[in-house]
Amino acid sequence: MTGPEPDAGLALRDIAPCFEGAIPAVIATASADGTPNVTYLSKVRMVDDERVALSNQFFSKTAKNLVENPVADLLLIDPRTYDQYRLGLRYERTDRRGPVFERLRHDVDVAAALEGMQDVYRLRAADVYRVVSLERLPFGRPPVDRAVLTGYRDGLDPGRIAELSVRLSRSPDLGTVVETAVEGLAELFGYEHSSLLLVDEDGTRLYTIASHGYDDEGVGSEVEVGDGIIGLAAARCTPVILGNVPQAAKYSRTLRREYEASGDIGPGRVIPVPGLPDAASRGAVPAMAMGQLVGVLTVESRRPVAFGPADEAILTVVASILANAIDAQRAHEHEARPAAPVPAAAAAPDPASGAASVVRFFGVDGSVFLDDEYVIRGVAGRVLWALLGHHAREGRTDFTNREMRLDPSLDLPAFKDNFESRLILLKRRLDEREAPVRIEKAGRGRFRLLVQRPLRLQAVEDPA
Amino acid sequence: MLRIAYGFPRACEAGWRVIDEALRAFLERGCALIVGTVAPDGTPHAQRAWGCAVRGPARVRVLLDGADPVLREQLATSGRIAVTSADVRTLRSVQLKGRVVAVDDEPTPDDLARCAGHNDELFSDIEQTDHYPRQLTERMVPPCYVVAEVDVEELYDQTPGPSAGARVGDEGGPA
Repeated sequence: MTGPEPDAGLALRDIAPCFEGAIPAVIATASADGTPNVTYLSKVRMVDDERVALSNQFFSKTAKNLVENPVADLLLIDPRTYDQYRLGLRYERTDRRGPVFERLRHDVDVAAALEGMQDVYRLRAADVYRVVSLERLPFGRPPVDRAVLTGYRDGLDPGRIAELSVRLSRSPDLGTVVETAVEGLAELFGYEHSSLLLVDEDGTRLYTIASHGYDDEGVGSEVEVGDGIIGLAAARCTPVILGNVPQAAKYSRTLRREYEASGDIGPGRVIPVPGLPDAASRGAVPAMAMGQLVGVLTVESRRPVAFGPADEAILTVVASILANAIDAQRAHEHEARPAAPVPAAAAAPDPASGAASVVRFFGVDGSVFLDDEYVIRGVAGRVLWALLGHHAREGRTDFTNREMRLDPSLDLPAFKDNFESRLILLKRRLDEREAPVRIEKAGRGRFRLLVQRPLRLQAVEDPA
Repeated sequence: MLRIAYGFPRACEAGWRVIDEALRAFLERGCALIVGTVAPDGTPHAQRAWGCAVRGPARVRVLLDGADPVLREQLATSGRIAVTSADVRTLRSVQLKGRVVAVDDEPTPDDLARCAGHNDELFSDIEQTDHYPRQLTERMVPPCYVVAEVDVEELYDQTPGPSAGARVGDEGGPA
């Protein structure tokens, strides 16, 4: 008795979605004495038209069997259709460096990053196999309607990319650029949940400056570079696309639990990820200009395997345009001539009325609380505190970007600071909170502080 | 009904209690089941399974894909089998290794009822935890079943992590 005939003409590239790792593969091997072993595999990658690579993590029995009997049987599922494929494999080699290893290492690191376990859970080796047979397995049930299929777009639409590029290039300032980007990603490409994070002054954190499709805009939420898939995309300057967030998170949580139980590591921390709590797919693409990381563009979906190679390409193009626009804006700000002095009339105190709000500032981290509610921290918090100080002492409402950049209390770097983006972040945060203090643009390189209520300022000393 | 019985020694007869109550509960819930078998020439074969019932301290009854001719042939020839059961919600996994002592071509009504319950629980777990709709996952269900009675001889922890492959119940090395 024999199995089904191999599908004539079926090639590995025809089943590319099976290699996204969205659904665990199954591998069977056998020892020299004929004892089978069967286990799940988190990652299988296509190496070329004739080979696949498997992540060698924990399946030591599989590795031992392959030394004795170098053949394996592999089951893969297409996550878009649940079509199933059988691959007959013959072991060829084990890579511990090189492009195949690095690609699998990236996959493993993405899963590890979800629980902050990059230093514990690492790829040991990539086992490379020649595919000696490939067949689609028959199913008892027919294909399903396309309506229920998961799956990502099949190709790029150059016209839509051009349209978004035009919109971005016509945006007159940074605030419009970031707003246009997330709105355009939704309108032109259907990315209903996206956000843009910028890297901070010392390159260790990312902060959200714009988002689309979330109940809470999340402006100001932060991610450590290296943490989670956003932080990993920033640290490696490489796109990270994850089409199986729940599966990967389960896997990562299980690993953490097992390592903790074995005593190899202590209790860990959960990496908070800004965005949808029930996202099934996430993508994070670095935004780079002139070889430097500017930020990370992210997208999310509640559908599994929502993003594929075409999405990665679209997001990479948009992220690149954004990064260059932001970089150009910063350079322009630094090279601009000093703004004209603020007109005297504009310096008059505005007629705030009503009950006073208490503004508390914590110098230790630059955090600002308004009537005991957290508003913002870091550079943006120090900017707000400085502006409110000028307003309280001198009754000023109008300011220039340039004079604020020179304020030593902000501790901005001399070269390529993030002042403009911090100001946008502050403006959005105040708008989002419906705070009695707002910021509005008052011309190129100028802005105005709107104080709608009397304020009592309290600086809290650093206890150290 | 075709029933093939084999004459391998039964682990349970030697007094070794492999499957306790906790493991029984685990094996009989809607875990994702996979099996490995092997041809006489050593070629391994992977397949999914669709239900598991514990029949004794070292005996399980596993519902397999009845439309897979390679699997059926290997059940009848070498009789060596590995069964891995993984909880879709937690990824806790165990692997049983043993020998097929009998094959039933026609599942009993009890087998089919257990299979239906297993599949319902499995697909619900997948839908809830991984967001794959049942219309997709139910495509994996085979058109017919064959049932294997298996004497379990070895048991391994297969949960991803540093203990993956560790033999359960003795000081043996990793699987």
